[in-house]
Amino acid sequence: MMGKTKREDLMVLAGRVAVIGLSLLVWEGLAGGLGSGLRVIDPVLFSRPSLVARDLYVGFARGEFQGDLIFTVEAALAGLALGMTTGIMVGLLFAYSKWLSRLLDPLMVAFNSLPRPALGPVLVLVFGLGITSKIVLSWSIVFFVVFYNTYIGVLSVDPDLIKVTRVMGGSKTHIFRHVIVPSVFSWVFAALRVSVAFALVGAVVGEFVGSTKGLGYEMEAARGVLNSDRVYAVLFILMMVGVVLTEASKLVETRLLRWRPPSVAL
Amino acid sequence: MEPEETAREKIVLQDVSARYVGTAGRNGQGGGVEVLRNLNLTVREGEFVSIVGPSGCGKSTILNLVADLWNPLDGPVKGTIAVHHEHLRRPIGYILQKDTLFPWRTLLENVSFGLELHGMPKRERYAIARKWISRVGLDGFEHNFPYQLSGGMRQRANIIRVLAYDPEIILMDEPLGALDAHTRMILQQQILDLWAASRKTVLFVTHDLEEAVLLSTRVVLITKRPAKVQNSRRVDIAYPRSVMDLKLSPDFRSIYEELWKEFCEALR
Repeated sequence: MMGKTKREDLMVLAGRVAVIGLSLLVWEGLAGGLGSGLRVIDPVLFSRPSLVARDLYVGFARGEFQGDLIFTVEAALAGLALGMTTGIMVGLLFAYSKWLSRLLDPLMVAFNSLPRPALGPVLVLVFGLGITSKIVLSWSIVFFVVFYNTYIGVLSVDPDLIKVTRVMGGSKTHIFRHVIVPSVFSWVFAALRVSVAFALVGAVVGEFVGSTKGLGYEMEAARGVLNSDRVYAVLFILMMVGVVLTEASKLVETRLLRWRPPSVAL
Repeated sequence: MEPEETAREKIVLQDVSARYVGTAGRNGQGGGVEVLRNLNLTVREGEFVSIVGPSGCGKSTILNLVADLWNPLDGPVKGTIAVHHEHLRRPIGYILQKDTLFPWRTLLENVSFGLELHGMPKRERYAIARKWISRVGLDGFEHNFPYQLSGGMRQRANIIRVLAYDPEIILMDEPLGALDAHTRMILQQQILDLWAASRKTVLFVTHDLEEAVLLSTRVVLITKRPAKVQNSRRVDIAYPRSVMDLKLSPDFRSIYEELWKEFCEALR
């Protein structure tokens, strides 16, 4: 039984490597690599895997990417952290104050309906080309995801759990700590992966709009001089950053939400 | 053996009437349902009293009033409700039909929750919780989360979570209502054994007359809504009791049949 699943896993892995390898080879060949001399796809626009790999190597060897990589990840993580803390706080405030939520609900809906990249130019105008404008853009997306999850988390608390805690002699503080907070956390952390992805989007878009650093900026600069090798190299780095952050948040999620039945954990 | 009529009064309901208005009433539309009318009920120290009545007759309302969970917005209540207890901090334990374990806590963390609320250090409260877990045969599941337990196991945990923090008075609202017949019988026996060992004051609500006679020292029949007490009958059968033997015993049968006739009258 165990052996069979292990063999299946290995076959799946081999299949994946084959698919990716084959796609890269076809791309390489059609763009004039592998001595094919073909020009089915234009390497000036689409580059070639080998050229991208070389640019990645050279770029990292010369230390051209490191600064940008750190800048972007820093902006995304700062936006994520700020978005999560403020989202939870404001979400709790809204859930507890009917008056406040009634007063400000239309405003929240309006802001959340705004396509957030459109804020980019305004933020760069206000906060300048540095990291602040990227953090704020990233925050503006993450905030709403966390805010709404917090709000739902409070509203969907099981009233029987509150009842039981009260009868056992629990105070309002106890109810908040042992019932409301865990419920809110379960909603917020179930949306962690989405939040992380959005945080990265915010940072990169901010860098496109106006920056002096960052992977988005590096890519935009390379596009300007038609350096397609660099454009794809940066794209690859961004993909890897996304994968690492997503996997990390998956780990956090399964660790923190291990009390959930597996079918519910997404 | 049986609590004397002179034993201390723990729960006293005197001429209690309650009307549930719910959201309709809150919006000023009046009306509502008269749930209780002039209900009188006294539970003395060490009694196991079962309240039996047709469904929707207000049995749970009685428990909610005793547990002080009735929201004034739910509707007006008249009469006197008194709960006498010695220590202020852990007067009442309330067990609901639906298990209300915290999904994010392990069995051990759930069972020790009441003690945690009262500030007992981790080591002590875990030791007490482990004792209870073992008493109902849940050893080995201490670190499982509720979703990893069966319905019967969850309800057992639900019951010992209340017993573990040692309340003076225990309220149970059809705690076995959602279980299958077999699990139900096992748990009835466990409740009997646990109760016989502690002799806590218990107010137990059920719609199952047989269960009431099996478990209690006294059965209180209440009428259809608006509920009042129809009859209160002592069950003079000694403890420890065995559910399996008791069901066949003539003592049990005669009390059961007597109450059954009245129960059916109340339904008419």
